[in-house]
Amino acid sequence: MSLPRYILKRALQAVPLLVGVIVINFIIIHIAPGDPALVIAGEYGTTPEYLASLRAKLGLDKPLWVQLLLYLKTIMTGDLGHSFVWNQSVLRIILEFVPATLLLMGSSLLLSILIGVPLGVWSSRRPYSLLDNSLTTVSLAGYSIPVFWLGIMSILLFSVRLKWLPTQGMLTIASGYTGGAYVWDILRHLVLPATVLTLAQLALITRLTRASLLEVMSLDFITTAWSKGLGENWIVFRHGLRNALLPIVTVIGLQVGYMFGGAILTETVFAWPGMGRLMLRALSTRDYPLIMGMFIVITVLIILVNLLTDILYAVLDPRVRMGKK
Amino acid sequence: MSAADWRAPSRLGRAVAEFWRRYRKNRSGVGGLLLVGGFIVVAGLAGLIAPAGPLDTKTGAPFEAPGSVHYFGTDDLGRDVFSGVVYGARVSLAVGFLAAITSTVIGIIIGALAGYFGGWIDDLLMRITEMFMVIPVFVLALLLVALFGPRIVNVIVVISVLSWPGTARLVRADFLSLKTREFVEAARSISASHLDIIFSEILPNALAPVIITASLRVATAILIEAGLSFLGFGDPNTVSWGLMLYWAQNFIRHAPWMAIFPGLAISLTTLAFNLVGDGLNDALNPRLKER
Repeated sequence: MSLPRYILKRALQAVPLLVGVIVINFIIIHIAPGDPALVIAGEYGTTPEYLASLRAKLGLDKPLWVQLLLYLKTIMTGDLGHSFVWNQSVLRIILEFVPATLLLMGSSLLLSILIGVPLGVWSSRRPYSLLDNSLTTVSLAGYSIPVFWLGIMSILLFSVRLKWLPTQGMLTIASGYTGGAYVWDILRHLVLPATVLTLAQLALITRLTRASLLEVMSLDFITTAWSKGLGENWIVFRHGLRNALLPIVTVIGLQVGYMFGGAILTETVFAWPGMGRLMLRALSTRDYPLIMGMFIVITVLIILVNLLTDILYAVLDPRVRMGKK
Repeated sequence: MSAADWRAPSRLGRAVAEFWRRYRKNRSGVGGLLLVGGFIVVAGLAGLIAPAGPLDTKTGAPFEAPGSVHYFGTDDLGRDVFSGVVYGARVSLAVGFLAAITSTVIGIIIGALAGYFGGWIDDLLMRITEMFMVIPVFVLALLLVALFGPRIVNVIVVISVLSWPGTARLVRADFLSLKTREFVEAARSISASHLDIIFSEILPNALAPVIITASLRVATAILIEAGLSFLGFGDPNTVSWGLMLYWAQNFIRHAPWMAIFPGLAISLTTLAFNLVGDGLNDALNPRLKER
């Protein structure tokens, strides 16, 4: 299978996933206690006229399957509803908050790969050594510490005690910075939340790299490479790591969903103005259309990332395209 | 025959002894087990250990620093933080165990059906599983708890319903390879029912990875509950460690102990279950048997 055909195939496979997620949302609306129209519109500020128009648009008096089709149609056209709390379209509000979250998640994903992969390689070269065992212990601790508590503790240490870094928000309020100063200001605010979120991912990537590389390094072609007298670094990085990276790419894709959870909690602790904060505001005002819109948008983002990692996998490993996995 | 009957219990005994011999080698696994045991004792005897009820206000002055009377200090309402941490163990362990057990059972059923029957059943169930794998668990959990009310039962149900896909995939993979083995053929040839083959023939052989993930699942469930409560969406009438951190948020600078101790408790408990999972992995993973 050629690469474009493979990409097309994977993209088409993502469609039922998307439909499934919308169906789940639909089911939730209908099993939630109360009037579905009220759940879709949110409890705040709705007018009887708007509810009536919703009922008509979504056919809420029609049989369930008709409702489902109408709901699918509405969502698929990008109409995620209207938030009365904000008096704006849900999609517009969400798009306004997405960049801050992507900045936070992107930088910590990048950091955790840049640190995690070398650490994993290092510890797999000397399995069960002192270094490997200590890294294992630290990784387990990394899995176990709740990300929001780590955030609170880092605020206590770095901002309250040492006064090194700002702890709240993304910009110094009313500073009026422009150009370089503006970027520098964001970076200073980014350090703590990004580091905290990185520590939460790092363990997984380190462990995974270690396990994956250990497995690859026991394969025959590596033995062949050794017997050819190639140098250790060459074998580990050119032959070993290249193959070991494949499962890591996939797991990173799956990990993005989990990262969103971590990002929401981290943003809350650091008052980072992204989707997490938006989510919390939506929850506290019972702004159901906004919450459900965010659920759909985040899931779509995750599906897209998984699509990308699948494609990346196929580029790295042609066997996948040939249907031999 | 009689010899086999006589041997059966001792074989189980030997299996347990063999398991323990291997488990014991993983020192941190043993440490994790001790920690888990410790937390279970604390949760069980909370009434005896805690000097006050978790919601009792004015057990002392507000914001008392940790000391000999209030080991972990007091909070803004004069509640004893130590008592809260002790009682909180009940909530975390209950949520952790119940959610882990329920999600594991769901995962076993779905994985077993998919792997055993194959064909369109497998296709359908695996598409559903894939869908649940891309769903951001924490985000959906927040939505559900907001809609259905932040009761502890809802929290447990939500976590269970959202965290079974990993188990299902593991079980399915094992069933796929095990169902073609001779002992399953043998059972089929004496016309054992599907249910019999699934539960008494194949499942016992597929349990090891399930047990390992279940222990990790306890840790994840505890973390999710803590996260929900921290955002203010846990059960407000049940004192949990996450709820205590939610209370602490506004007082971090004046009374850091309000945040430090509940957070330590969460970290230690999840660490304990992760260590147990690691130990189980070493003891049960057949690929590592020779080490």
